Amino acid sequence: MKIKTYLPEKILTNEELENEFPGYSAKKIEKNIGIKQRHISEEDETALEMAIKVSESLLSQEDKLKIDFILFCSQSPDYYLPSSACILQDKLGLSTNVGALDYNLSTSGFIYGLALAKGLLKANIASYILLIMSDTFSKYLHPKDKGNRCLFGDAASAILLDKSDMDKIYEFVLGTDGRGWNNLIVPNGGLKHRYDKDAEDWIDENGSLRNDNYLYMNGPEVFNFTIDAVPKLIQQVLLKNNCSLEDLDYVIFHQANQYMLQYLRELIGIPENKFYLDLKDTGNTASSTIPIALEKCLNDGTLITGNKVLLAGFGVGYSYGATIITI
Amino acid sequence: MTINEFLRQLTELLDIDDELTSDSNLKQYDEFDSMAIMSLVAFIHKNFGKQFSARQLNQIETVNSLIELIGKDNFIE
Repeated sequence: MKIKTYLPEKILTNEELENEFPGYSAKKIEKNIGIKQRHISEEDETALEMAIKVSESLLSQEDKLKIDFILFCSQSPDYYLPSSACILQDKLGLSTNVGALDYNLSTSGFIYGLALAKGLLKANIASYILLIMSDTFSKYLHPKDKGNRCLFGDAASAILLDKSDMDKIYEFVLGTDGRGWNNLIVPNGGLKHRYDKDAEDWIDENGSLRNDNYLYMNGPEVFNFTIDAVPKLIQQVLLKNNCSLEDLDYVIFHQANQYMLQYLRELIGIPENKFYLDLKDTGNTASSTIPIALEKCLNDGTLITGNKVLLAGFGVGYSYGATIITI
Repeated sequence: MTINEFLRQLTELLDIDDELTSDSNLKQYDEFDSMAIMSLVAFIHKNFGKQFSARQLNQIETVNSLIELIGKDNFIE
């Protein structure tokens, strides 16, 4: 399993946020959400640009003409149309005998990407799949929205999957609870509600600063959803794979925020030494948190060949999914 | 959990310098922000097995109103 990640050069530190928002404490941000800094894309650095960079780095040693499918996951794409995946075929110089599609998911996107890839490989539709996740949520954030500006960072990641990976990716459990669709949303900018240059700031009944041109997250409600959904998801994926927590070498969840992750770990009963928790240098990068964790663990030797790892993503939608893989 | 233990843990959770009492108005603290409310969701779920909506938790003003929301019967003397 070949995996690469890309982080924009520009960094936003807790100290900078403390200077910008008097009364905000850099130390407290780190203590509560476990984040020290996040990478922020430049104005002209889009999800597609980042996808090109990360893919070029992944494919530098590969025969890229063998790729016959591109899956591109983003909720901050460059255009309504065409698909970024089509532009990637051209920009990366891939064969025209390539299937290419975008899909719109965020924190569950990597799991869904693995599931789609496995299906395509197993059905003999594709042999070499380039799966890319790229998101620039920073561009959706209101400059005065200190909570979300603390939390989110930008990143891209890419992974190459071929038939030899099929036996290393086990059974999936995927889920959706669309009732939470408006708890994590960018209301304006699509065709239902166009971007409104005159949109005004307002304070909602929860005291949150809102502006419909920007991202809104009802944090406590999203947390309520994860408390309900994630323990069941883990139980189901273990059952479907006929294994227990003890059989696993490691568990990697979508890195939402430290507090939420610690509580979920406790609730499910995952031992601390088997649980990845590191948002320190990147923040919550939406679709790329699990690939970032995987790359880091592979590089520092936390994960070695043969390790059995449970992966789970959950969030926007609400959409969620989990699987177990062997490194 | 006793009310006193609850007050102690709530003070710690919200990272407030003052010692909270049942009459303390939580809304007066900058610390009682959306992140704090998220922590409160986990704290209440962990200790009382209950879940409340963001709206319910945002309506809380005093510590007493939070205790009432959780239900006085759920505390031990």
